[in-house]
Amino acid sequence: MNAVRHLFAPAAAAALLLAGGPRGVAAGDPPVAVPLSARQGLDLVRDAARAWQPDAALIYLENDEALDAGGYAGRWGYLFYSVAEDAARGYSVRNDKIVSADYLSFAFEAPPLSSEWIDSDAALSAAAKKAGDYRKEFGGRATTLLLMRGGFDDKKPDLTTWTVVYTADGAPSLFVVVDASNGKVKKVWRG
Amino acid sequence: MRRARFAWVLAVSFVAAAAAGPPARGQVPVKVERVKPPKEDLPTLRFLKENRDFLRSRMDVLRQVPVEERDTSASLDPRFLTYREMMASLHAADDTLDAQRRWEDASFLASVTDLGDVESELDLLESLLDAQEERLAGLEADFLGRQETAVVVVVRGLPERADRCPAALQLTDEFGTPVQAALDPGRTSALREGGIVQIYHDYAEPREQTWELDLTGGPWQGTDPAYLHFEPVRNALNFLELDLAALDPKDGAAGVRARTWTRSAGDGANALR
Repeated sequence: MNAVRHLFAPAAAAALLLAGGPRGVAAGDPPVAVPLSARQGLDLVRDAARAWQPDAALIYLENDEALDAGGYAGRWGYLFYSVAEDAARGYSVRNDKIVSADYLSFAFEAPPLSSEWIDSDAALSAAAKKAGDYRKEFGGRATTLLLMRGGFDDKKPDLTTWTVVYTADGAPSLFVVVDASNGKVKKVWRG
Repeated sequence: MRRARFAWVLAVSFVAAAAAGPPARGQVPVKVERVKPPKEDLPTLRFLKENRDFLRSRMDVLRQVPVEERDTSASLDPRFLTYREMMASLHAADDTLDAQRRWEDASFLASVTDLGDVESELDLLESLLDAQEERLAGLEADFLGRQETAVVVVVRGLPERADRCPAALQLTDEFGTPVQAALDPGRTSALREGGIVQIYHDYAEPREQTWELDLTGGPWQGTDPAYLHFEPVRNALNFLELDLAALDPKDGAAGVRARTWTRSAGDGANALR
């Protein structure tokens, strides 16, 4: 199903372009964002980061626009760190274009992500199994998907993990940490 | 630092050939504006920014104590290992030819039937040439086949009136790095003769960019800068041409005419032939 969506996204973008945009969108309005998985914007931002600094390594990513039920978002944010420049630079990708690029205004010297990580759709699918009660009881939904190394697993701090944050009105957030290498849920907590 | 990456001869030849030849793809006029266009303020990495103290504290778990570095080594490009193998097979091919030649001398025209062997010798030569061609194709792919997004800025033309010529141009790219290019007598003379002058060559992020152009010297001192708005094409060598012919100090730097065009690695290889 996700694979079908993966193929559908570029086709949908092309169809929108051919049709001159969706109904109700005036000329000059920004194009409607086609939902992408986190990995779909990666090649583009890697190219950009290499242009910035050859040693730039991806250290963090999260969805910049709302997630859909499949783990796709209209815009993703990627953060790279360069040891040579001792600086972090973020890129935001929408519709296969970098729509924002800027230095991070504070120090965040995180280690590079492992090169092997499951995509956002698989991560959300893995987390959803642990979030069923929270969603049912509080009407919670996944609002943030973030990928980083060493963030949330005390036993294996070197692990690259997806963290899915579920939020609901009137209830503390639910955090589900997923091992990004194999999709296994490592930790669940409320807070 | 980033500019140092361009200190290899192939790239320089490629740029020279590409800049001198006709543009391979459609030229695109560049928007030159007097006022810096506002950037769209899109919120990004919000969770990180809102929870930065917590996330940074998690990084402390990973913090390692640095020790004195000894016997450092850089990682080796695996291609260089294959070049050794290629060289070895080249020498092996030479040996094969030598052996063939010695055998040929010893039995030269010993019999009319030996003529049949000439054909097999030709087959052998052909296979060795094929192997050589394969090696050359590998080298070409390694050194000519990978074009990353880069921008080359070239200057063309000068105002007819000498007193309107700026003494120098300053370009500030999206990284905030200013690059100054003086229009010294050598460059001015080249421009007067219809030549072009390269003033910038570096990698660029493949996204919409706004660069600042300032002109200095003589009547240009204190004039308004111009803002060049363009989008480098990904994985292509992007040429940005600044035509100074119509410059007039009363217009400030916005009087410059600008356009872009691109060349890919394949176009470059053609230009070299």
